Amino acid sequence: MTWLKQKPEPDPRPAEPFRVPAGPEPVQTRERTMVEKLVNIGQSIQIKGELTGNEDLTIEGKVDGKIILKDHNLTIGANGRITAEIHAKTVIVVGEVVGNISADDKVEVAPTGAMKGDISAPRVVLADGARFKGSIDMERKQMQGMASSGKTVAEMTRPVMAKVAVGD
Amino acid sequence: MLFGRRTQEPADAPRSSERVEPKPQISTGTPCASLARALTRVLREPKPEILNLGPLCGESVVYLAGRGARVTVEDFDLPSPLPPRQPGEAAIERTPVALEHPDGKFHLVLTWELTDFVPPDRLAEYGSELRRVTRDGGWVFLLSQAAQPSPREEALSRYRLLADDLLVREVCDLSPRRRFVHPTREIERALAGFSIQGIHLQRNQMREIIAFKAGVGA
Repeated sequence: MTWLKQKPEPDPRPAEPFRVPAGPEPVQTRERTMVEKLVNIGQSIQIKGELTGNEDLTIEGKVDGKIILKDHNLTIGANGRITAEIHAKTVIVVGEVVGNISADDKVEVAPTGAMKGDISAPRVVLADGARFKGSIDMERKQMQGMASSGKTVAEMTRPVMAKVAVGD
Repeated sequence: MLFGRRTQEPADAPRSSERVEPKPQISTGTPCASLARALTRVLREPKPEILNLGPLCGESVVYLAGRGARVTVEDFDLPSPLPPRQPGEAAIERTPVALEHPDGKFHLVLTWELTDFVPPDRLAEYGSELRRVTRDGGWVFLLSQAAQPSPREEALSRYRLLADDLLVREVCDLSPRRRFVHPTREIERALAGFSIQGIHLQRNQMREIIAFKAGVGA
């Protein structure tokens, strides 16, 4: 009976711990990633208080209070109504904002956007047709650092001269 | 020869059957030396405050902010003319011309051609308000059309700054209003307290007016 001989013998080595085989990531994880990219506060949602987070956010609802999204992007959708102080990396206003915006990178007010408050960001885009009342300050971080270091503009922008040793 | 010799077309000339796309017109802008003069003075300050009145042109505001200024945008409600008053009639309450800013805040006030839409009987009030918000040593820049207005109401224009001394005028889609032609002397009177530094009439009948608010002891 040859087929009996082909039966595998039990392995004398100790059993290894179970490992997940390498391959495509499970479906559940992939879905979670997609959800994280589309974080959205819906039109019927109203928030009062401080809103903080570590991911990009789109707001279509109403927020009263304070919004802090350090190093992340905030989009105020067309239906968004915000009465808050905002701090984020990038802020795009398509809806309405009442309050000051401070951004590390850019603030953009779309043609349909309306804003009442002050903007402080290195880059600002105000589309034609946008409604805006307030002030804009585009002071760069470099200049802020200069102010703290006590150096003048001429000192900061002076070209670096290479030292050349002249031999005989 | 029966036929004249045909002139050779250049190789890159379009064929008659091909549709020639119109080239986009690049607006070169209108020179405006008065504005450049005011900006040169104002931008010497470490953090000048500039007030931009009239229809918003985002590019101009960002341009000025990029030059180191703090630019405030005000959507100014233009005053309406006072209704005629009969002798013996009680005084009519009117909304004062007001800019919601503290006294002496701004180094430069840009009113563009807003003055043309202020009725003559409110011009002094308007000038007084400009003087209030301008700081001592500050400047005010305005444009005013000398040409007669059309019988229809006109739309306000916004001005796109291409450079310190280059402007492009663009008509906005805002609600049209009645435009007035103020004599230069009336504008000077309204700007009492300012020292008029220059009035320049452009070819398109636009007057550039630049005025300086001298402080005490200046």
